[in-house]
Amino acid sequence: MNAISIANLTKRYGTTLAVDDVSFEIAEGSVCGLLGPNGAGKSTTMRCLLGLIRRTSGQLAIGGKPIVAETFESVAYVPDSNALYCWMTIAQHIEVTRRSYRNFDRLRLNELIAMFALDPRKKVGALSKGQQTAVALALAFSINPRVLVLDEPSSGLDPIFQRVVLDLIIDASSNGATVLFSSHQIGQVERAADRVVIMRSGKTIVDGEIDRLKSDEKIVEAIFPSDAFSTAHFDADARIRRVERTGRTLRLFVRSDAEAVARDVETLAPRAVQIVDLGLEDIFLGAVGADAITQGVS
Amino acid sequence: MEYVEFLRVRRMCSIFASCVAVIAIFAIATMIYSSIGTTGTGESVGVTIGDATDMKHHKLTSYLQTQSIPLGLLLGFAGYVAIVVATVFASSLNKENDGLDYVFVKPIRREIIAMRYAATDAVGILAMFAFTIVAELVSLAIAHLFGRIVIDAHAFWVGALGLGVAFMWYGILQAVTATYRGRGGTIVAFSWGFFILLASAGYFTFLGPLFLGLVHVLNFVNPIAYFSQLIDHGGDYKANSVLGLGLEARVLVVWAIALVGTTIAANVWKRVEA
Repeated sequence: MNAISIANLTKRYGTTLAVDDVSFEIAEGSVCGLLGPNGAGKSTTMRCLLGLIRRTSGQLAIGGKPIVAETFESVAYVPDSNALYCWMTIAQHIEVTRRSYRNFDRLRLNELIAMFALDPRKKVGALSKGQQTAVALALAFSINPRVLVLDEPSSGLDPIFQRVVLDLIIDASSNGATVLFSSHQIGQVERAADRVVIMRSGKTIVDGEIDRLKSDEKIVEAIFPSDAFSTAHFDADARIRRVERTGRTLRLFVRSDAEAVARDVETLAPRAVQIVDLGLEDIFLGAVGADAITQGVS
Repeated sequence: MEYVEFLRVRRMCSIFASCVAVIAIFAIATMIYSSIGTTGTGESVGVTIGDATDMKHHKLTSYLQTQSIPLGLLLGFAGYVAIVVATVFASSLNKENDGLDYVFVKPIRREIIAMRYAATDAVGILAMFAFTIVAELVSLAIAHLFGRIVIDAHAFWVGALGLGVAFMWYGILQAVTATYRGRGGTIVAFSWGFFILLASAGYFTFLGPLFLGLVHVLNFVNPIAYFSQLIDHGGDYKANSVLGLGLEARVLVVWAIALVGTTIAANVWKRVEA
């Protein structure tokens, strides 16, 4: 059964179309990475899914049912910016969580608080952005949720705690939880997610299992003795989706028959030729275009 | 989620209780000072300061010695304190609007969250109303004036009106501020000036009957208009009221508006987008 179902979701702010007919489903126990440049509609999609903002049209379901208050007994959400009360201590936030959720797990919370090296006596307003994110994550994971929606969960965290967050996501998934998380760090998504949805300008442009997307294409990579080599005859080759040339390096994104393409490249007398798997970054850049780099996507 | 509001209410009640306690100490000191001058048990401080002070001193002394203290007066003052407390608590839903990503993902229906907030605020308002009455009674007992308290005929209606006005103001402000972001405190502060001006506007006879008619209608949603002329000086509450309503009618109307305002607030707040 699908833990999360989004069908034909559209969200319009006046004349601005923030989310345009987005549809995807996430199976139970799956980890789905939501990627896209800034303003692609990732956060809006998540917030519509949780009912935090009203959708213009479309159907949304968690656990096969429309979202109602009771749904949140087993759903945790960490927004991209701090929504905790700055004037309250971490301990007081823990008390709010304990009173709000039947599934609250004190032992689990204590583990998480220790893992993130947090002092429960401190006020949230006195914490760094990364620590505030850590508090939100600790509270989210302390209810043993079946569905986790995390909007840039490692934002502001140092590399060590970023790794901790990824481990938490993978651990939750191995225990049957479903995770939808967005990130600007493609490497994180590649490591934790088994599925990816890439959005651009409010639309879904890629949706699928990462392994399958990677196997759909291969990269034929060649290094030449100098940068004076011609690629003209590859431009019209139907087997090749994209030609990328950087100095002495040639990268051909091949849809089919990579070995035959590699043999063709060898006729140009390169120093070395190899066939490599597509990375998620290649898939992402191929989908959103190179201009995404200029929009701050790593 | 009401735990968050409980923390807010607890903090504000401590501040208000401290203020009421300071006022009570000041009142006790004033009453004891007055009694010293008249009983002759000590030197009259008032006399040593000068004639004007002496005159005021004897006026107060004379009042305290001869006049009874109507319970309605004490309840009315407690009502004023409750109003101040209520207006401070009245933007509790508005305060949540910057953190709805946290509030609206709790497994509790939004209108239930809103009503629990209102219930927590109500407990705070009632607690401060009760605390003020206790402070008044203790102050009078310390000043040996407890025996002068008389239960006037309308005392309990006055108490009900005082509390009702507090809750009416609370309900109106909740309804008005529930959907705004970050402007709740400003609207609360503005409401004091607006309602006082509106209640006073009924006396601006030079502005003509049309204006006065409009003011009269608007005053039906003005908490201050309901809280005028509370002390029974002639028994005619209706004639002395800005609205021309009797005491019992005013009590019913303010509690009804309080209920409607709070219900509207809960219903509009649940539709706010995070």
